[in-house]
Amino acid sequence: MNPWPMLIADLRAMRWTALLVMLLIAVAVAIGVSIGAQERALRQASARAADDLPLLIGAPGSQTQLVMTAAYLQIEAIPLIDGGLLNTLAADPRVAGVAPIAFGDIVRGWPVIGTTAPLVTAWGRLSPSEGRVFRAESEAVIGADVALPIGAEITPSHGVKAHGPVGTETKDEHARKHEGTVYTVVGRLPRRGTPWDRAILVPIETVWETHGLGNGHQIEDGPLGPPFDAKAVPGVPAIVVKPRGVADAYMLRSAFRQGGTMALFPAEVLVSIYRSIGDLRDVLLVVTALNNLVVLLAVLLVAVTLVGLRRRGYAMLRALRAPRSYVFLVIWLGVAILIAGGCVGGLALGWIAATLAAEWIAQVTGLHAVATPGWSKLRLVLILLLVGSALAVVPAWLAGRTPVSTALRES
Amino acid sequence: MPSDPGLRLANITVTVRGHGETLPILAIPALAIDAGTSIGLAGPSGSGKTTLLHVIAGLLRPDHGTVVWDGSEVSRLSEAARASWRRRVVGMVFQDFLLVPELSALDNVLLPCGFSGFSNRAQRAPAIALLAELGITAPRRRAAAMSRGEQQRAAIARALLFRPKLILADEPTASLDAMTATAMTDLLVAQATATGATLVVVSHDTRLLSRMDRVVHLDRGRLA
Repeated sequence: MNPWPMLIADLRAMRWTALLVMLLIAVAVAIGVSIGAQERALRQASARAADDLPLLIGAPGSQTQLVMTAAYLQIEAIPLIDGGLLNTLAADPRVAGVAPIAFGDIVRGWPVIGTTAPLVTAWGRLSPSEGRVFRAESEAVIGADVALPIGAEITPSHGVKAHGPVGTETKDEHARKHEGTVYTVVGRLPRRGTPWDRAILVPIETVWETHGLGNGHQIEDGPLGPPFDAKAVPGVPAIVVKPRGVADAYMLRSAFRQGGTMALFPAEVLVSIYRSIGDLRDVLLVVTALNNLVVLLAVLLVAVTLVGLRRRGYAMLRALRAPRSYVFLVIWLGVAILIAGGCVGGLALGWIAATLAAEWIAQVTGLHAVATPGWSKLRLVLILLLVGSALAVVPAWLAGRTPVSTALRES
Repeated sequence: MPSDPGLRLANITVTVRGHGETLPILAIPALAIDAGTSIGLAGPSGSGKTTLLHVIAGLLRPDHGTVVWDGSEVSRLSEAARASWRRRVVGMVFQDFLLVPELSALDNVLLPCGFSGFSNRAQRAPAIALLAELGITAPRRRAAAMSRGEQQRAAIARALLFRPKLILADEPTASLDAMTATAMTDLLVAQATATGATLVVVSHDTRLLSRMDRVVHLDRGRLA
């Protein structure tokens, strides 16, 4: 049996309806696919952003705010902790590395982060893709997405978020500029796919000095980084600690959860956030599944109506010697093709939507999430296709129920 | 059981159920149509002509009675077996032609190949030749773009392609102008004669009926 000529004729006759049906299914599928792909991509990207911050120490308060500020550079004013802890931690045998994080200044929308060289190189894991790491207080290393050339000279403003090329500063930025503080860009880091790609990393000493807090050392223009002068070192918003081992990490977390500090693994905050996102995703998935079911039922209704409208043509086929199974095959295959086309279109549409959303998120947050269709999503689409194909039996079966003689007499 | 060639109908009754009662719409005690002859079924609208044609075609199973073709009782066959019998024996021309408007004349003629066990490729040349014989020289034009006369000719070509032994036509000249109707009548009769097929035509058209070997009149489901 060759159902294609009649099938193609049916699809031609109902081309606009067929296109609308496929679009309807495609949109329903795309919503589910893009939600799933985006959620998974965001999860991976956000976990990657926290990779280089094994243990965070800050002032007691919101754990989420500390992680959002330190890992994702969603900068907000948070209480400071005693800068002397940097020396304490540097001397602790359980600590493999320690680095402060200080912020508040901005250059054309790029946050200026004061820290020390170990954090710039992600504890020695990274080396600049261009230039080198800062060696003097007036030098800066930029993230991969900072549109500045090596050798550029920049002056930060205090807390003014404005975007655009250097040299087009707003009045507000000019008014809050730290006159006298000039950084020369000496290096660029490779892309990490995290908000740190948009950061300008400078010696913490310069950040302190810019804000009138000294440079944390007894002498001017001495070597950068620890040890700091216990009496001169100012407070810092957060300290990143790289413990030597897992047991050390837990001991340090426990030790610095008291006495005016809060220690946490960013991962534990992420797990809590993921749990909330996961709950939301589950709700969205249920809603999406119900949505898909409603769309399938709507498609079924459309199919039954269309088959009713073409009933005389199908009766003609039967009168022209076609077995019932031929007509069944034509109708079933037609509906199944529409559903399959919608599913494939939905996968493509969902992937495009997820990619666009990922680009938008990357622009807003710096999190480079790569959206790929996961197996679970494909499985859901496959289930939708199977259920749809099973439901397509209904209009095909109904078409066979009308007596040929009766259908032929209809006008 | 009669064994002579042709069509034999005996004690045919078809009823419909409605409003709690059963109404007879066709009652034919006996009707014999010899092989290779033509017969016209005439009568006013609602007299049961098309119902009788559907009974002959095996599209409608009578409540009682027998339809026998060449000695085989068609009316006793299952639906699938009747479809198979139609595949081997019957060619039908429908009222309004019932072409698939989205397909070309050629594809309409070849459409039954998809389920009749004939090779589409093998039947292509004969189909084009048949269409040409019937005056359709552009067989790849879509049916929707053809005139009524061309559509009618394509419908006849579809019915005749597999050289059926029994040609059934339901109002084949309805809605055609007089000249086209005459041409169609000539064509149908000539094709039936050429292939030795039995021709059964339902029509109100007296010119068409006059070309039949015999005409039977129906009135309220009975032979008048």
